[in-house]
Amino acid sequence: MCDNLSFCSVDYSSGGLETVIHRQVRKFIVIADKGFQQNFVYLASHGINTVASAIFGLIYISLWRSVVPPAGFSDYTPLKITQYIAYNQVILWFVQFGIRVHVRISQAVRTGNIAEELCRPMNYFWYRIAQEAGVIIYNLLFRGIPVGLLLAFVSFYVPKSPVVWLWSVIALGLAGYIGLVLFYIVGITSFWATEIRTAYWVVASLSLGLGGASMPLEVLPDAIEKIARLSPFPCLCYYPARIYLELSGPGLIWYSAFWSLALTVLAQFLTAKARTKLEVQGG
Amino acid sequence: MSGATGAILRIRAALRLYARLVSCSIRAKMQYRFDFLASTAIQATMGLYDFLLVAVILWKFKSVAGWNIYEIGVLYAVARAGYGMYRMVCNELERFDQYIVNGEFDSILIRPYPTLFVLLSRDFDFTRVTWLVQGAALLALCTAPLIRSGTLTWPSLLHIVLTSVWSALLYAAVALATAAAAFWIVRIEELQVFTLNATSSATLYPLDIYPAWMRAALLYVIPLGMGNYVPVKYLLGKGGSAASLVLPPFVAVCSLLVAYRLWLWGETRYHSTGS
Repeated sequence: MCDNLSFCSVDYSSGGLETVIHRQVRKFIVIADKGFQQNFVYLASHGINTVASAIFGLIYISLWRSVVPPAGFSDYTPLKITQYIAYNQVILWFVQFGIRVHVRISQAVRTGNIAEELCRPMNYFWYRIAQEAGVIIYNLLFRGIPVGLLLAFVSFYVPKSPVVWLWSVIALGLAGYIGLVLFYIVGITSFWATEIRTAYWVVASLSLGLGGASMPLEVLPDAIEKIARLSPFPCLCYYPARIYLELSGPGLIWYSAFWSLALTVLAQFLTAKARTKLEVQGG
Repeated sequence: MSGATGAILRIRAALRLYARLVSCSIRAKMQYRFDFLASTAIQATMGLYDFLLVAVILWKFKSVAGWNIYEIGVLYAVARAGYGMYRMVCNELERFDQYIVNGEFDSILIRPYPTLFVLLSRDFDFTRVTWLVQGAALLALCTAPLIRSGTLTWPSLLHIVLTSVWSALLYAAVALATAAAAFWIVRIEELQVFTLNATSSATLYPLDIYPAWMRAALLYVIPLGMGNYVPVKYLLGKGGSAASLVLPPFVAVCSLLVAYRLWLWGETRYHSTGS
């Protein structure tokens, strides 16, 4: 019976704790690499999509440029808001658009493949996150960065300080992780619900609306801004963009770290509950 | 029986068949009531995102390139209603590449009706009616203050309603040309994001905000801007001439004819995947 439920299911017989963790991390990397490689098949079609994404970026940049006064608003000059939108257009494929983990879980539940997947010698949550991590890293490299290169013709900010780069990479890494876990939670609801589209659209809409992808939170009405800041959604785009553009210090990373931890606990809890709920039709 | 009478009878028979197939399609979807209602609700809420974005921006900054919230609302409503009409009737064009990939186009070719007719009758997406309703509601909300302020007149309302029909025809033309590309390149999902999604989002806002090359592309290359921006701009007294009302139907019909020619040409290039 499959009882390897924990990510660090310690098997001391074949080495110490360190060896076991090393083995699990290796598994994570191998699965992530598979997810990355699978996407290479679609490299050409992703090229067309890159142009479309750059046009979406240009639409929002044009919209903002037409409304922001020369003196700017809040921390944003017309140039800064352009760079804000351009940066978010690059990372959107990493933190939201490219994530399909919910679809994969839902399909596995529908086809019954979930039984086999749950039996794998790896914690199901980490298995799914690893696979999807490879996909979003591919998205960032081959879809996001080319969008940034195209938008650089308009304006794209590049920090000079290595420290800003370091904080930006950490903030972005946490943003990608939070995106993965949010959509994992959507996917795991398929153990209870027959369809997950409604849950998906709720999370996707909130991510877009409160995440700050197409507008900084300062633009929102006060009450909505306060609600947004209490939610995990600004960790997806708003905080990473503020850090990358040097509009805020690294303190925002604590919010992302908190939400990463809280959502991980929730996802693991739901996964454990889902295991007890699962019914697979035999045949 | 004269040629003209024969043609009328054939068209009537085709319309009867279309009505019957559409009715079957709706009944099939209603078998899954919850799914149907959930899809309808999702369409209703998601379609509003772009407008909410601009509404929030206008709440803060008052106008976009000289267009106030009511004027942008009219522009948005025309495009949204047009897109709703197009998706309701032509939804199957959006997933046409699946027919090529799976070899299902063979079964369409053997029917005694034009392939496009058979394809479109397979899925009448009634859930898109929400976009039509959304457009109509927004139009009602936005035109009332514009009529009170004298910016719009009652007769111009009729033009606005007609404009959404031209918009729908233009969407259909672009979608048909994109679907026809599947005969050569097979997968068109990513191409659709470029030709349909990006351009339809762009035309929800006044084209004045874009660089000249992009404005020209949206008016003359993928002419979705001709469907809403050109006539609405004229009707709101923001520029243009009477030609702004004549041009959209002309461009819409020409675009549809060109797209259909492309479709017919593509059909001759089709080869089945075999079994």
